[in-house]
Amino acid sequence: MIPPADAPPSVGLRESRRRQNDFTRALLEKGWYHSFELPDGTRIDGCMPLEWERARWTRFPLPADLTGKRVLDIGAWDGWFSFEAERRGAAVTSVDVFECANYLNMHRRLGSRADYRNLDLYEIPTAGLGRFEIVFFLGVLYHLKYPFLGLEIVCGLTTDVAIVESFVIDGPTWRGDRNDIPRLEFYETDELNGQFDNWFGPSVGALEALCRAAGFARVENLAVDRDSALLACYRHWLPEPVSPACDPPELLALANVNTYGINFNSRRDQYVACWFRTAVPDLRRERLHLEIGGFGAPAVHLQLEETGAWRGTFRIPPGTPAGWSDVRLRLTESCFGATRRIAIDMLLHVEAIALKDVLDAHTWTPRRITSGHATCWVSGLPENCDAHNVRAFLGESRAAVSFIGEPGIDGFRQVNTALAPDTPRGEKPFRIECGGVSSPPLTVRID
Amino acid sequence: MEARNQADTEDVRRLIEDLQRLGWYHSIELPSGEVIQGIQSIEQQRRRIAQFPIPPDLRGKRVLDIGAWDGWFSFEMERRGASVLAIDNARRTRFLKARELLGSRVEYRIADICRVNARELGRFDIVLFFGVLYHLKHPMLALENVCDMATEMAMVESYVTDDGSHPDAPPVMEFYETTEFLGQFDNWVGPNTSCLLAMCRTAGFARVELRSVLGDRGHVACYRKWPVPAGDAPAPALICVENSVSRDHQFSAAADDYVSFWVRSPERDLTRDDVFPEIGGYGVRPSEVHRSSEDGWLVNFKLPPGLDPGWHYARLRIRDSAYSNAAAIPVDLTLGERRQPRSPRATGLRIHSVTDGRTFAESRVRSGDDACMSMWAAGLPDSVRAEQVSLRLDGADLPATWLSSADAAGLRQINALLPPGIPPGKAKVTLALDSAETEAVEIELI
Repeated sequence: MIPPADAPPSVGLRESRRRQNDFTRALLEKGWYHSFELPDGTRIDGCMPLEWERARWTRFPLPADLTGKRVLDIGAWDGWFSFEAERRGAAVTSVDVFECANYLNMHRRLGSRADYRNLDLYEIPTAGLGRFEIVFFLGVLYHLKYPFLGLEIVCGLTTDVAIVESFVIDGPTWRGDRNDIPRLEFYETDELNGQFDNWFGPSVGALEALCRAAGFARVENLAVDRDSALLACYRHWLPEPVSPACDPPELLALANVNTYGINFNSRRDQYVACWFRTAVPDLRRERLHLEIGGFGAPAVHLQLEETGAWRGTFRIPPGTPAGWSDVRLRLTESCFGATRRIAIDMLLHVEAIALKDVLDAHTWTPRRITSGHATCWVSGLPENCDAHNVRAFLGESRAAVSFIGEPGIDGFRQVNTALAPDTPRGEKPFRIECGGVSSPPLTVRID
Repeated sequence: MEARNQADTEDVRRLIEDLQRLGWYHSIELPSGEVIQGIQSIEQQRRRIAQFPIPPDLRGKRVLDIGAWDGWFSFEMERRGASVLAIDNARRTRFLKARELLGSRVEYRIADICRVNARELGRFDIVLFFGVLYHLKHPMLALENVCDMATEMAMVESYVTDDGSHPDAPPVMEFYETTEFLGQFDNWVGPNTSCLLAMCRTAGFARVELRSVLGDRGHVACYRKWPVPAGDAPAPALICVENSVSRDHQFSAAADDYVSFWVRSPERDLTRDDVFPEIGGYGVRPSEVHRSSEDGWLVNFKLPPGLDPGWHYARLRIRDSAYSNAAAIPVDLTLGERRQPRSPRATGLRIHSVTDGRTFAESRVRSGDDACMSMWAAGLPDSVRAEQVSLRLDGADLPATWLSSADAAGLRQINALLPPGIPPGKAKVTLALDSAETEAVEIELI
C-alpha cells in the first residue's frame, strides 16, 4: 500500500488508469455506444461491437424466453440490452440519468414498448416502478459516489436476479488476490478514464463482497476481463438438495439484535440473530442459508455459544415486504428446518390489556415477589408483541421482560419479568403496558 | 474470510470486557473532582482533541458532535463556551447520566448521519466527526452531510489503514464485508490516509489539512473557507458562470450540482491547487482546471453544500491575487422569484437597446454555443470600468466582458457571454452598476 520511495507507483497508476479505457474519441467518431442490427438487416456500428454484446448476453444466466418477466435496465444508454430483453418477451423499463437521443431513436425504429424514464438511481425506489424479476446494472457502479447505497437499492428492486457489471482494478490478477482484503480505489477527479464522473474502482473481491453485503443471497462470478467483472446476484438460495447429507438445523429462537424483539423496521439497516443447534461440526457462516420472506439472507457473523447453540447474525433482506415474514434455516447440504415468524413494519393494535395474576417466578407465591423475578398472565397483547414493545412496571420502576409465551385457550399469555435491582421494597402497583395501552394495576408486595 | 488479525480480535475482546466491567468508554471529570474512569483516559481524550485547531474560547459558537458516545467531547466543547448538539445513532444512557452529573445543557438527539443534514439539524460553526466514518456503509454521503452542516470547519477523525507517511499515495479504501476488521460487524470501510483526504475534499470542503496520524487514527481538519486575506496581485476576471452539466443557471443545493467558471487570467500552468473559487463565501477545491484559450481557463467544482435558497455571489482568487469580480447565481429559485428586482433602481441609468452579440438583431438573442449579448446604455459615467457592471438575465449576473467608451449619443456598449444551455423563450434583462440596477427590458432568446 505504501509506495517504495524509488519508484512511486502513484504517478504510474494514476496515469495508466487515466488512459485505461478512454473511449470518448471513439464515441465522438461513431456517435453510438451500442451497436445494433435492425430487423431489416441494417447495422449500426457503435463503440461496443455487436458480437461483444451478444457474447455478453450469452453469459447472463437467463432463459431464452423472458415472456412474463419484468426487466429493469439501469443506465440503459443506447439501449441494446433493454431491446434485447424486450425481443425475448420481457416487459422492460429502462432508466438513465439523461435523455439519450440514440435510445429514443432506436425505441422508435424498433417499435419498442419499453418504458423509458430519466431518473437518478437514488430516485428509483420512490418513482413507483415496482419490483423486477431481473435487473441489469451494467457499467454504472463505478459512476456512483455511494456505491454501496446504489447496490442496496438494486437489491431492493430485484426479486430474482441482478446482473451487475463494473469496472474492476485487478482484472488480470484477481485470482491471485483472493485472500486480500477487498478494496476500492477512489478517484477524486479524472483519474479513471479521464472522466470526472468516475468515483470508485473496486477489486473483484470488493465487488463480490459489496453485492453480498447489499443483501443478495448468492453472488456468482460470471466473467472477469482485463478491466471489468460480470456477476449474477441472486435473491434466492439454490433449491434444497435432493438427497440431504444431514438433518436440518433446529432453529431455537430469533431476535432483532438491537431490541431483542421480533419486530423490524424496513427503513433501517436491521439484523436478526438466530440461535440454532446442529450436529454438523466445523460450521462456517458461508454454509448457513437463512430465508426471510422468501429471500435468501447470508450470515454476516457466526459464533458458538457456551450453551452449545450457534448464534448466526443475518441482515433483513432489502425489499422484504411489510407484514409477517416466514424465517427458516438450512445448511448447504440440508433441507430447511421449521419455520418461525418475524414482523416487518407492523403496527401494534392494542385495545385493552388485562392482567390475571402475578406470582413470584421461583416460589409461585401469588402477589409476593421475593426472588426478583415475577411471572404474570396477560390478555389483549397483539400477535406481534415482543420483549421490546411489552413493558412491565412496578410503581415507577421498569422491570425487564424476559419471556412472552403463546396465548392459552383463555387468551392469556405468560409474561416473565426481572425486577431492576434498585426496585424499592413494599407494596407496589404492578402493570403491563403495550402500544400505549396499560393494564389495570394489581398490587404486589416486594420483599 | 478469517479476521484479518487475530491479535486485533483478542485486543477487542479485552476492550469489550473492560467496557463491560467499567461500563464507560470516555472518562468524565465530575464537578466534585472525581473521575468516572473509562477505557479512554482523560489524557488520551485531551490528546485526541489537541490534534485539531479548535480555539480554547468557543463562546458564541455552535458545535455539533456526531457519534457523541459517552459525551466527553461534547462536554469539553460546552466547557469552552459553545452551545452543543450531540447526536448518536442510538440512545446511550451513560451520556444522559454524565449530562445530569455535570449539570450540562448539551442537547441530545438520535440521528443517523447518512440521513440527516442542515434541513433537519441546522448549521454549526464546528462539526466534530470522531471515530464514526469507518462504521458507515456510505462514507461519502456522510461526509457530504457533515460538510452541509459545517459553516467554518469540520474535524474528522477516522481509522486509516496506513501510517500517513504517504498522503499522496493512490487513494484506496478497504471494504469489510463481515467481521474482518476488529472482529466487529459494524465496521465497513478502512480508507488509507490519502483516500480519507480525497473523500473530505470531494465532500465539498475548500481546504483539507492532515493534522496527524497517531496509531491507526487519521486526524483531518476540513475548512469551508479559503484563508484570508486575499493577496494583492492583479485579479482574474470571471466572465461566465454556468451549471457544469445543464450549462444554464439552474442550481440546487439538493442535487449534486457542479459549477463551471470561465475565467480570464494571464497566469500560466495553473493547477487545482492554484485556483480558489467560492460561492456564498464557501470555498471549494476545483475538481478540474483546464486551459481553454491563450489566457482563458475553465474551472469546475462542486456547488458548495449548505447554500440556502436565494442569490449567492460567485468569485475566485488565483494564487496570491486579489478577488475577481463577483457574479450572483440563483440557488433553488423559481423563474418568478428570479425575475423580482434584486437591487434598488439606478438613477439616471437607462437601457437603450439589447441585441445579439454577433448578428446585432435587436431584442432577439441566439442561445446555444458561443452565445453572447450586447447592450447599449445611457447614463454610465466615463469613470465606470467593465468589472463594475453586469447584465442580468432573469436576475443572474452575466459579467461584462467589454465596455466601450461613450459614442456621440452618449451610449456605451456592454458585451457579455451567455451560458450555452439557457433555454429559448422570453427573458428579462437589466443592467447592474455596483449595487443598483435599471428597469428590465424583455428580450427573446431564440
